[in-house]
Amino acid sequence: MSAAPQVTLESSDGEKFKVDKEVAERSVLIKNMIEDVGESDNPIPLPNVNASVLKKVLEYCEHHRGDPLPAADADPSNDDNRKRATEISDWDQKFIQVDQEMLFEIILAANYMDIKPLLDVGCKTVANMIKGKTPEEIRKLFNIVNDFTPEEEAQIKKENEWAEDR
Amino acid sequence: MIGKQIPVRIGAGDEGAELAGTWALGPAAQVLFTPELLSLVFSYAGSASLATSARVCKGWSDTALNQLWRDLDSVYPILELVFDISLIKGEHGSLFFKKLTDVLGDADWNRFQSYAKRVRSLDFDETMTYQEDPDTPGLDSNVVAALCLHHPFGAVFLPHLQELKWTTDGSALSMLPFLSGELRHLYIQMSTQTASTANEVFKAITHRTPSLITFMLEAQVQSPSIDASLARWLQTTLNLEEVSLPANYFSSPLIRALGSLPKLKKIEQSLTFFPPSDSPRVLQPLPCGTFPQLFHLAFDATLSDARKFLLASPEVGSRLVHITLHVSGVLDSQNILNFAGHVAQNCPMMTEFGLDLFIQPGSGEHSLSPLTMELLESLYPCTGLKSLEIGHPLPFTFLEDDVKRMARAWPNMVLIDVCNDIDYSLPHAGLTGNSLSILPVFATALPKLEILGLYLNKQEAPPFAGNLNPRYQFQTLSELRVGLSLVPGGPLRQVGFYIASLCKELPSINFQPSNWYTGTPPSDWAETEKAWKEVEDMAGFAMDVKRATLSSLRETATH
Repeated sequence: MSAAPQVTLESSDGEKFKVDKEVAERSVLIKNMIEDVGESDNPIPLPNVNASVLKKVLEYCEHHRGDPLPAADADPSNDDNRKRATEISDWDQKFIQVDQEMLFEIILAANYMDIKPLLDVGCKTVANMIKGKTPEEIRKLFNIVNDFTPEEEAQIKKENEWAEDR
Repeated sequence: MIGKQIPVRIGAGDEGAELAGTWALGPAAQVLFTPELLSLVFSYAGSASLATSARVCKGWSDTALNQLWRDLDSVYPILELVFDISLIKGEHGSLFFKKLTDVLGDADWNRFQSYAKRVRSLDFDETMTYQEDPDTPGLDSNVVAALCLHHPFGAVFLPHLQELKWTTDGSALSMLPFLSGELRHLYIQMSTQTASTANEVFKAITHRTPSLITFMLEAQVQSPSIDASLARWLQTTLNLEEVSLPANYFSSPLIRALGSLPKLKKIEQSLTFFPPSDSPRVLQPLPCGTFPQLFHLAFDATLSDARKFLLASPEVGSRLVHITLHVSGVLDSQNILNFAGHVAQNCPMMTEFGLDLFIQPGSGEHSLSPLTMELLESLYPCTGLKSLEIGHPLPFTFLEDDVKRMARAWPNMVLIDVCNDIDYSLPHAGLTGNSLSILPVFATALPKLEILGLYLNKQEAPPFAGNLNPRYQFQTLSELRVGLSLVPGGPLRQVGFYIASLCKELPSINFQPSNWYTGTPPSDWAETEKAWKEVEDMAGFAMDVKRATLSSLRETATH
């Protein structure tokens, strides 16, 4: 078998990762960079992603290397995009079972590197964490300060009560 | 302490990850307080989660409420912001209006507005409300009128509404204050609406929907009574691109109104069944210069009317890329051929052609003969054809050479669906049709087909020789439409394996007639459906075996 073309990625903390071009190009950011500058042996710097996160992101890209690419600019007002499926595949679910810090790091990296399916998996996971919890439980979970007065909070609750039993 | 502006305590100091230059935030805060990322998270949250999230902190509230109120499936959440629904039970008009005057102040309307401005789509089915809860009053138009009079923002309840679907069996007038000037998509279903209120509705919205792009109407109102008001309104929808109306609505005033719209691209007939006596009145010959953009035409007509239309409007015909006609009545083979020949001559851009030929029970069955390859051949001048859908009560039989010639004429074909839902009450039905052995011929000649619809007969599947990976296979077939075909003879397992062997990816195998089917289905429908389901399961199993075999072969080759 002939060797597949490879590229080198460099994390924010200087670690280098050599991966198949096809794998790296799951990231639209990297794909565009390669298209713009052409192929070269210089490592592609990713100053917003550290080595531990990049390793994890590349694990995802490797597993999904053969997947069809999502439509480049899906119309967000489109029904199909709006009524989103919340299921996560088994492999993705296992992949994303990480501590909270890593989960958010992965979301940020997927956003920066423009890997839409991974960004979706991350955001779905956060949405699932919120599900079924009270506001106070959510605040505890993410360490958020409540800046509402009890009256303000009660008012919002009243106006949106219709949605709560759905 | 960053609490006030960004109410988050965590993660600060993560090696200089900086946001907005000043605060060093942890990854959680960067995700949970970047509006775009938070919106994405909320797009996967259900209504209950969103209602809860809106109370977590001020930084979340707006984003969560925008998502929660963006798509409503009822008007009551928004109306209940200003009045208690129980207040109006059994009361109407003036009494309700007086109560409203007593209770509503500026603060109420401001609250109303703060939510109303978030709504982008509303799908309201008034009839469901009755059925689900008899205590919930229907949307009384007097109540809505009273609210309108009170409403301080110009009686437009939802100022940024883009999409409205309204289903009613009462007065569609209640819909009016929910329309906005920004509305792009309008879908009205009126079931037992009287013509007079329909008239009022169309009069009232004239000039009020300048941004409208698509309009769909399903109604059982006799059309002549509302022709004029509907046509006048549609003339003011200068951005309209797609319209779908009941078959019997296409009168000449309406066709003229549609013809004057500068951006109209698509005309379709909505799936409303109309009494056979109310025959379609379509395709009046048109003056030149109308329909400047039209390229998609789908509705009922007689073949001769359709031919006259294309003759009278050559510039429309020359641009059409899609024609679907639903033709009922006497099906004369020569007429059908003439029409197809006419399309081939006048519509060179055609990429999608559909012809649904169905008979009204008791009319002209005796003269019915099956379609032949001659019909398809007459369309060969449309060299760009990608999609061909033909429905007819008798089966169509493909011969090997026909398929090969067709592939040369139409190399770009992605969809072929020909006469797969036949009428089982007719003589000769079931005797002809295709055996499974025609599939490899299609796979060889047209490997890029995505959808294939055929009438299959009971002939046994060719013996499956065990080769799951023959040289010629469908590369992208996603659907095998068997229509109302009988299940081929022999073990179902063999049929499933045979189909799977001919496909790179597993297609769905769909046993169902088209929307327009009017014939008599097979008497053993349920058993046939079950058998096809089993064939599909078997094909799925075969595909798993095929994949496993192929990947182990690949591994062996690498080592």
